[in-house]
Amino acid sequence: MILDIDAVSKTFEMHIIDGKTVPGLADVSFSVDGGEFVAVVGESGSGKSSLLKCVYRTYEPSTGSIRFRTTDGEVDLATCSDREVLAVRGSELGYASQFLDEIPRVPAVDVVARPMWEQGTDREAARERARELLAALDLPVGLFDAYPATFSGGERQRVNFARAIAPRPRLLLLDEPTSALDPETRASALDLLGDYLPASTTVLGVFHNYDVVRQVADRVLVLDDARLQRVVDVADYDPEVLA
Amino acid sequence: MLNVSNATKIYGQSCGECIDHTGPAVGDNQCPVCGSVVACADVDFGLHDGEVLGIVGESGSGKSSLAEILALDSDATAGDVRYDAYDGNLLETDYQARHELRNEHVGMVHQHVRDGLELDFSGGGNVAEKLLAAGWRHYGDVRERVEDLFRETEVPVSRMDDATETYSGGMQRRVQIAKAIANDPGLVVLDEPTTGLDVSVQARVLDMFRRLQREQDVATVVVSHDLGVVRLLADRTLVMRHGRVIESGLTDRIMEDPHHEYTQTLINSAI
Repeated sequence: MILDIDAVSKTFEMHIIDGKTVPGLADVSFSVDGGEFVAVVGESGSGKSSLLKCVYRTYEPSTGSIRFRTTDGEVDLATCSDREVLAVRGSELGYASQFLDEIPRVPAVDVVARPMWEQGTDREAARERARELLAALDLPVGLFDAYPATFSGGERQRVNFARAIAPRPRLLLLDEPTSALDPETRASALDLLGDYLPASTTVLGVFHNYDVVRQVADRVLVLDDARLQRVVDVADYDPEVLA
Repeated sequence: MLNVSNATKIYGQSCGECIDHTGPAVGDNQCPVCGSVVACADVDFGLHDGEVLGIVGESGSGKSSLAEILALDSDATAGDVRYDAYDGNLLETDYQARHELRNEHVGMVHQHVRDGLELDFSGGGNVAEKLLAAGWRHYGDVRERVEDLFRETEVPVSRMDDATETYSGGMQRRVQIAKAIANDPGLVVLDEPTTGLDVSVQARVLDMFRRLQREQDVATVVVSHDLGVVRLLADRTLVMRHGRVIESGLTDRIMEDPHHEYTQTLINSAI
């Protein structure tokens, strides 16, 4: 087991609307084995992104524990210090958000290469790997040295995806990484997950597309209205039951 | 490498109870008893090598006062600041020690170029001054180092002998950064690093600084009213209001899951 999530709840207190509280996640518990690929599914607003953000600590869980077994021992991502979170993010925990967020006027190659060189990879070696990843995602070569701000949604998503997988994190969180891609490019992206990342990589990914889930996931975690509805093997997953 | 506790700066003759009479709970930073202004009070934080800490808040929240204290540009009223490069409380240094620290161990990039550079001196001269103050003597060595710094901060070396006032705003900011890092300080304080720059130049200055900061593993405090700047540079962030730190945490957590009422308003106000 690499990740053990126990009774995690997240409540947002909105001061600007008179302290109204909004539930993000309610009492979610499950665990993930090393090398497993778990797809997170559910309707919009069911808490899928909130779950990933709690694991990454972009959201601070209100209660519960998120125990991550790192190579240096176990940390509880729900309660450990900010510095411990930064250290884990810098070495073992990766996250691809739905939107690319980068310093403007940085070429696409450098956007992808930056996390690698900040983790100690040689600058040119990191750029070379970035180019390989972008090429594997069918990004036109002419865009490699252009600034992503002017890219289409799908092009930007490929840059974001390449950046997240580039350092080969042990635990990878993906938030709808292929939502803006056409079927062909999506297939390239999914192939890359299998080809580029070691089999020991653990992935927790939010997906909307049933075919994608069936292709990549070992298990499926269904969220409904901030609660965990069920966790099933992908073979037993029937999206019809979702509704 | 840096540990700040209880940093406090009060302008005016304090009645001794100013801190109790001001702050977010009262909604003001001016003491109703004696009229003193509590620019910042009870600020605590720690910084490790290579970390970037953001400080955000509106005008008058105390963020620049805190930056000036850390850069040894202004005296604190109270507090205790421990820094690797100095044995003792940084806020109680004598003139000589302070001079040495500012020259060799703490770099400051001022919000106003005039506070950081002599505009009628050459750009190279401004940077060289910092090297000379740290004991560099050989003309050729100084010139070579300045050229290296210009290259690192992306200022054209061919312009180094021109008067700084003939430089563009973005170049002046980069010369300030070159000067701030000239003696490889362990700590750099940036006060509003992009204010007054064109949007296109802002991005380049941020990218250049982030690259240098990571390469040289220098601890950095970035003060800005611009949440975007802090979001792109800082690992952790303090939110200040009425002279106090009202919330602190991972930068992305502050931006996406702000807890304090004021932080929520601040995040929701960003354009």
